[in-house]
Amino acid sequence: MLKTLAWKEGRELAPIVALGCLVQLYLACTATGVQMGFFDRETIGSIPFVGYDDAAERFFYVSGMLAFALGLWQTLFESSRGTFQFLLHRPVERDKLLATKLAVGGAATLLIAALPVVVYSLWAAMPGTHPSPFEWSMTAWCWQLAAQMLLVYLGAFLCGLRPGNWFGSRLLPVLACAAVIVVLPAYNYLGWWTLPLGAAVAAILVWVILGVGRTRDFS
Amino acid sequence: MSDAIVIERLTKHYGPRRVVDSVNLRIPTGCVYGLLGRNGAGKSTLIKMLMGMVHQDSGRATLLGNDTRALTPETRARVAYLAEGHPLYRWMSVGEAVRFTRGFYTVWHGQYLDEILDYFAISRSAKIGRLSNGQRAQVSLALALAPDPELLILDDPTLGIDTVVRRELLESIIHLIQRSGRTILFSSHILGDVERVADRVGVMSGGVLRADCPTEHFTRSLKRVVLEFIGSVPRFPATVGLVNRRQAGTDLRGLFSRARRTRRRAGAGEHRSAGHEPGRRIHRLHPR
Repeated sequence: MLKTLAWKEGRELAPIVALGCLVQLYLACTATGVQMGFFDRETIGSIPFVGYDDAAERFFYVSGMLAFALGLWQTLFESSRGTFQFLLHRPVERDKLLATKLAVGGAATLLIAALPVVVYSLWAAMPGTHPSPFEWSMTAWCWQLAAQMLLVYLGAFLCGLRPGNWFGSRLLPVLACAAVIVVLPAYNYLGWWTLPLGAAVAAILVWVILGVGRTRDFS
Repeated sequence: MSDAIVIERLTKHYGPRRVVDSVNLRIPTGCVYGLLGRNGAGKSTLIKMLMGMVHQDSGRATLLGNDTRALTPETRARVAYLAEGHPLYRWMSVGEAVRFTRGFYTVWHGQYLDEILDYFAISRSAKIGRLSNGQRAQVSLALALAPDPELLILDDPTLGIDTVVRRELLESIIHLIQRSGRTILFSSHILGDVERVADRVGVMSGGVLRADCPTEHFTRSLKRVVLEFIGSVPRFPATVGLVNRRQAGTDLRGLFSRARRTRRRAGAGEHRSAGHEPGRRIHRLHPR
């Protein structure tokens, strides 16, 4: 039952995921020095993953926007077409339906966020690609940020699911998650504590999402 | 015979507006029940509360003996629900929609579904987004019937469908009803549709169930009154037996039934006869 729902969610998200992967691959290629036009690597001599690596930071601006789009797409698309009433009447617990949506959307978010980090890291790890040292531990902050994109996705999902005024409280969840992630220096200072903190926030968001799914009117 | 649907004092507010007002209704197993009412009468909200899509403010309801506030997957598998507008995923083909829906059910009559799609001449490769409203309704009906449900709940199944296709759809519903003793609740704003299909009729107006009786009793008891006014037209007063009212130019048209209706508290101005408000001149009165 849930496989068929996962298939449906995957098909619906496929265009956004495909676009996201293309854009992220493009950015990863420019970060490695491949001449791609507008986003050419400007900071010649800077060390990958060290200090203010704007090439890597671009990955997360794109990831954040796409995580936001994924969360809203999975909820507003159903609401606008009225298909929630078709979906929620299927003989499956509502919590499982929403959890499957979250699992597929979360996986798509992580794929888009992690893909450029993988490409950039592999390039940096190959000898002779850049005149600077490289250790895999230098990529830690990137992996942490990639994982935190889930918070933006979950915040957007909650925004789309929760009834309310768009110019009122409805956007608060995603704004709060984005504010947390934008404070990059604080994340670097907290080190590996960001992961359990992020996991706790994600768990709270999932709990709220399932609660809203149980209690709101789908009219 | 047990009741497939039991509704007791079901009430729902949207803000200050009471859209469903203390509705009491019992639909026995095997009955085809037509819920009639104009747009905005509260039919869809009532049906959505039965399906657990909307939470009631007070009262309770059961489907096949199960509380609608906590419908289990097993109960949902026994109930077919066609929501208003036949929402389906428009990017899917008919075949994909069948495979998607099939994945949720342990009981699935694929051959029966194929017969229905063949009867309606709908290709499995057709995109749902390219189907007409009528064809989408037909696909929705086929998907709803394939799990062989005991109870069908159809929320205005002919909404937005032209007359010819509507008649075809209703005839197929009649044909499908005759195949087995299913319980069917369907809502409509068209009296003719309800008369053709239903054993019993309920009429909702202003969120209140104003009539609930066998269909032939209802149609025999109907009287239409037309009041033509000179000058400004007053609001049609709340009157005993009034099931529907509308204004057309300087006419007030009321539909009255002597059929049994649910009781409610008398409000101010109730039981006044139509047209007896002081200061209004009635040009002509047409009883039909």
